Amino acid sequence: MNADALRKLVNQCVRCGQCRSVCPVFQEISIESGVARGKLALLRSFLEGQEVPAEELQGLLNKCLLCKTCGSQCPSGVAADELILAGRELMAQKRGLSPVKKAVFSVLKNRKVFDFCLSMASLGQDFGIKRLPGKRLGAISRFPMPGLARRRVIPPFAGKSLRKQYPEVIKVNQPQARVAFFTGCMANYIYTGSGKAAIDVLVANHIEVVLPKKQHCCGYPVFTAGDAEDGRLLARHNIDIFSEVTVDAVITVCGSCGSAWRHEYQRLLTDDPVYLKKLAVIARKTYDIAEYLTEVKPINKNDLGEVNAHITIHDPCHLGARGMGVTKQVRQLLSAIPGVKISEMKEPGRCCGSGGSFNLGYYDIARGINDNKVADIAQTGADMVVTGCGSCRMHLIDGLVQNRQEHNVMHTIELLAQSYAAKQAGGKTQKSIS
Amino acid sequence: MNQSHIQQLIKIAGQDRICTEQADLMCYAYDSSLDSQLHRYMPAAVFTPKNAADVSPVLKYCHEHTIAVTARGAGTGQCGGSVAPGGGLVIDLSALNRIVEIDTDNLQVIVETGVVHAELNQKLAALGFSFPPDPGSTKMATIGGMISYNASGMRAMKYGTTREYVLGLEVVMADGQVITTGGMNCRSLKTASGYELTKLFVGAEGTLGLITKARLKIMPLPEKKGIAVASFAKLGDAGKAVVEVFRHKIVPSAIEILDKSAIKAATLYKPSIKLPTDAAAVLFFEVDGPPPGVTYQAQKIAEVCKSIAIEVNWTDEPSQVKTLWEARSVVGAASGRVRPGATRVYIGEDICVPITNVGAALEGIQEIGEKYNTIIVTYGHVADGNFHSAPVIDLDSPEEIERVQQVGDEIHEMALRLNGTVTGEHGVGIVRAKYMEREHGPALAVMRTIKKALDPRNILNPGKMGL
Repeated sequence: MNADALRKLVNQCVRCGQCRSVCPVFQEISIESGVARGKLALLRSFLEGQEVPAEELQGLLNKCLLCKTCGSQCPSGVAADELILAGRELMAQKRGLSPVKKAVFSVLKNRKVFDFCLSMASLGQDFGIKRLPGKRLGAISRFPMPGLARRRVIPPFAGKSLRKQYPEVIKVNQPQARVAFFTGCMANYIYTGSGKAAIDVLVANHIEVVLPKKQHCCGYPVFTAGDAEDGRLLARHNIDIFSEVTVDAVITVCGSCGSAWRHEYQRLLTDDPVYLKKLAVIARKTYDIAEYLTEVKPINKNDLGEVNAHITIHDPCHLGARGMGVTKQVRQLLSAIPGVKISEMKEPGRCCGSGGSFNLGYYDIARGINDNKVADIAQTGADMVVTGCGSCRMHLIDGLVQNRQEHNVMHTIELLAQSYAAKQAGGKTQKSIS
Repeated sequence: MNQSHIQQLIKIAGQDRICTEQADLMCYAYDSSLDSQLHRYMPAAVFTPKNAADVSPVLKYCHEHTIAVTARGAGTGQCGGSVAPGGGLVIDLSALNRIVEIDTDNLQVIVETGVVHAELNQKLAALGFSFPPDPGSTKMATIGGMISYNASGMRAMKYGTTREYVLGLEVVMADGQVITTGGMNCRSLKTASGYELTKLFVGAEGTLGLITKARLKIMPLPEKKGIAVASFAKLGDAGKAVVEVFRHKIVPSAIEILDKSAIKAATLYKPSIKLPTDAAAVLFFEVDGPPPGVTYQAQKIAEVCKSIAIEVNWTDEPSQVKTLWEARSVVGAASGRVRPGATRVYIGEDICVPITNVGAALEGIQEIGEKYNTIIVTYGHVADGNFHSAPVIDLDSPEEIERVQQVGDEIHEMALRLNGTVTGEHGVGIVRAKYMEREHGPALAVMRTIKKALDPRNILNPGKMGL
């Protein structure tokens, strides 16, 4: 988006202040520059050529979760999160990215180097981190690390990435459909259990799974930081890779990855008709796993075994009502599992404070937002939190540990996979708190 | 205000409570008014107190050094009332957001003034009560701002404005002294003791003192609500219908009007609501009370309007009532949607006229729009003659900006000509200060005398209301 088009859109904000009532960041820091109205006012002044300190503006634009709450409730129809994102791109062009982001992205955009680095990290991590007791995937750094709060609970990397655990095509007898699995980084390198669960459930439903080995990060952390150029690089790479496979659908297990395919790539590639055309073919058949298993290939409830679990559900911003719109499908799947009791928390769609890398850069703010979420979770009396986003999962686990809560956090598909496993084991009840 | 003042204020208030970063200051240079989009009213510093007790020493210092102080809540004002044209210190009271006490037995609450209206009413609704003044900006307006501008909203005709619900206040005076109006330990619902200082601060726009706490009257929630929607072929007919309803001894809890453009804005915002898009205006009549009374009143309204309106429908189904009110409450902010690429601006947006002049005012606004070739979305609280006219313009066009300023002037002039006022509930601030003399005559001099007595150095929100 060019600066003039951006300025015109920013002008649509009538400064009514409704975003103040819903912005999680503002609710933590209570200062006008923290809310969409303030950020848009500054951006507007900057675009009009007024003296706005560029460094301060760039910092303030980064202080946004992109949770889409403001945009979804703006009576004037201003998609503030998208304008803030456009502002970040503009500032990145003018001022560049921080050296840390630059270094991280330069590794990230090279698939082989990225893969190698994370493999090495998984080998050496036990020297640097101390795993938490229990079954939650959490660890604490043994040494101070730049950009990471000392008490921050992080997940350890998987010993072997998901894509290395499987062949490129996971065949089934008499396939009823063929899907490509876009794993995303979280399911590939960290929460491989959720990726494995997705494959298990798809296979149990006689669906052949293609796991393109050359797929790469969806680019969300890159283009949301304002690096649109590298975001396009990743988008084009993934579009090429997924255009090569003949499948009925592309499945994601993360709201942000799914949103990238459905919404963000289109925005990034507006001026690239060739790739837009290729994208359209894939985007229209991209589904979150919960959506796919309810709306496209509905599961047979008779295949589900009992899982004893009292759960509550957190709807990630990019998967839920403000993103892919996948909320009721998650509940449909989970409520079909015998033995599962769902206690809804207050405002399940309220942002958990993770915001991708936001929780690393602004840990205290993210912690405050998450503490409210954890309090909502505790109030339900549930034993476990189920969600459909790895980043939320990581931040929720940190919050639960910091607040001395015992809950584990799992991906929706993992609970469903447990249910299939219970049935296959002969109807034995599975304890899900594991 | 110089650097030494800022350093002293940091010593008094604490490093983390005084902002001086340029970007932060720029975010306190505006409210919703067009005026503050055209001018940048930069404060020298912003103070964000966490507790009411933090305010007094800061004000004492500012008084001693004659530093201008402008109080600010959510900054949702539309008349430049909470910006600082002369610089100085802006005090952002957003963080004073505790509900101190809810006493339903005595029909009152005590709140800090940064509490947001909707949050208070959500808490009260769970207990079966409400703070009746109901501004369209319920989700963002703070109680302090509502008191300072005597906000009201849709239900003022039946339930009154904020003024009628303020029982007492904690006020930090210009010199830092903290006073309590309405009696130190008083918890009564009325008083005849002494000057009515409480009401003096209501609508004073922060020029006489800085309000940090308020004791407010609350009311039980009505058992039921219903809504009759009537559509009209002519704007004037809508005005006639309002008068007829009162003549038939019905007092609706709200009567709201949406003109043709407002219907379009509401429909664009929420396509699910079905409003007659071919009508010149629709009226929403809300009635409340015990269920049989609601049915009786709604049917009576339908009967009265039948001969004037094109169509009348009514519902008491709570979700339909809620949807209609939601659509109504966002018309203001959604107005810009009627012209792609343009923006709704706040100017001439809050006149109030006698009920008998409602029709003339509505038609007058439309004529002004035509004269200046400007789209004006009009909606508002027609029950008490209070309209919100929303000009929609291209902010990139200096010519349109100039024209809309003339539109604002003409609307204000018309209100005074029709024996009305330039503001029914949004206040005077900077933008309507020029009409104070004409509207109040010698009474303005009395206001100035009061101001001088309470704030001799004129540090509190200077320049506002023509003071």
